[in-house]
Amino acid sequence: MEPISGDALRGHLETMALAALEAGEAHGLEVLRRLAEAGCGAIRLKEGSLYPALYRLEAAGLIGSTWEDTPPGRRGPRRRVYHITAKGTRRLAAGRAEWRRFVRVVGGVLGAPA
Amino acid sequence: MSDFMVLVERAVRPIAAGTGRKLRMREELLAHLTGVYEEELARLGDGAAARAEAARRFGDPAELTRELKDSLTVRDRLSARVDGWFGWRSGEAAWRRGLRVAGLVALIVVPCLVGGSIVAEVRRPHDPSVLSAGTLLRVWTAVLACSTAGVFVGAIAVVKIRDAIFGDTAARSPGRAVGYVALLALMAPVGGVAATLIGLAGEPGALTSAIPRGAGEWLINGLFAVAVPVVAVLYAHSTASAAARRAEWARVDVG
Repeated sequence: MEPISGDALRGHLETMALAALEAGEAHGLEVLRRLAEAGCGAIRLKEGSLYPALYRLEAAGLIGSTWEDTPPGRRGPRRRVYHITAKGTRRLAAGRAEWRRFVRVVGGVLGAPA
Repeated sequence: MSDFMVLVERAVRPIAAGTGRKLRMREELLAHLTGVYEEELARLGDGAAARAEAARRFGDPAELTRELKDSLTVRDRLSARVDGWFGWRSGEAAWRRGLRVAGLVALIVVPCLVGGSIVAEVRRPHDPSVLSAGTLLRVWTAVLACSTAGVFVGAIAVVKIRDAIFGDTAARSPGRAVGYVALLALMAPVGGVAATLIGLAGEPGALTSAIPRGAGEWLINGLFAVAVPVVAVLYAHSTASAAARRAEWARVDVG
């Protein structure tokens, strides 16, 4: 599958991040792993760009975060773990509905099956 | 790790956000880069190649700076302003910071003094209990002098206590910490005496009025003499770790 670049993803990154967190709390790198797995390796994103999206989601109350309790034996800087909030779950549901409408409408224009 | 700190600092340093916010960004991004490096090292088996791949995956720091700036909230920008006025500045001596913070306190007190004097002048013809202009001036001078002096000494003492107790191992000094704690313990009662002397300057019996009388006044002075250094030590403890990390990031040469 042809990779999909960051520019095409930019408007959807926040919704995708919410979808990744729906599976359970995760730090930024784990969110990217979930996105890569769900996208079958086709999502190509400059990984630093995830964090501004997470900060916007957090400022909007759609996700929350805490510092991870560092497991014994693990070295290095501590990680911030994110979780989706109830408001974020509702926004994700709305985002999915909006995406289905988008695919239906644009798909109809392009003559591509939804 | 230092290469990754340079990448992260290139992205974060230009951002106008509060120091706490920026420290969080730095730590998260560094943790991310470190995690990516470990992944790539396991995959490639070569440290240099893993570092290069981690940097490539991370992206252009300048572009990330733009995206991070776009993610800032009004609160972040306001926090940046407040930190700019009151907060820590890399390489700044404790006495300079004390002077800056004391100056800002004075900027708050002086308008209150002017406002209070104007209100008193308006009310005085109708209310004989309102203090005279001369008395008000002495009282406000006492408040201004003692508050700014207290903030100045307190700001220096907190930094010195933090370095003496919680700083780099080589710089720690229990004796210096005790000295600054004792200074703070004296500050409250001495400040009270000084404020009274300034406020009552020229009045008969000013000196005797300044000395605490009775168990109640001594108890209050004693409580302040204990509370002020305790608060200072607790504040120093709570900020020590963040201060050390801020200083570490400030030393990063981004080229």
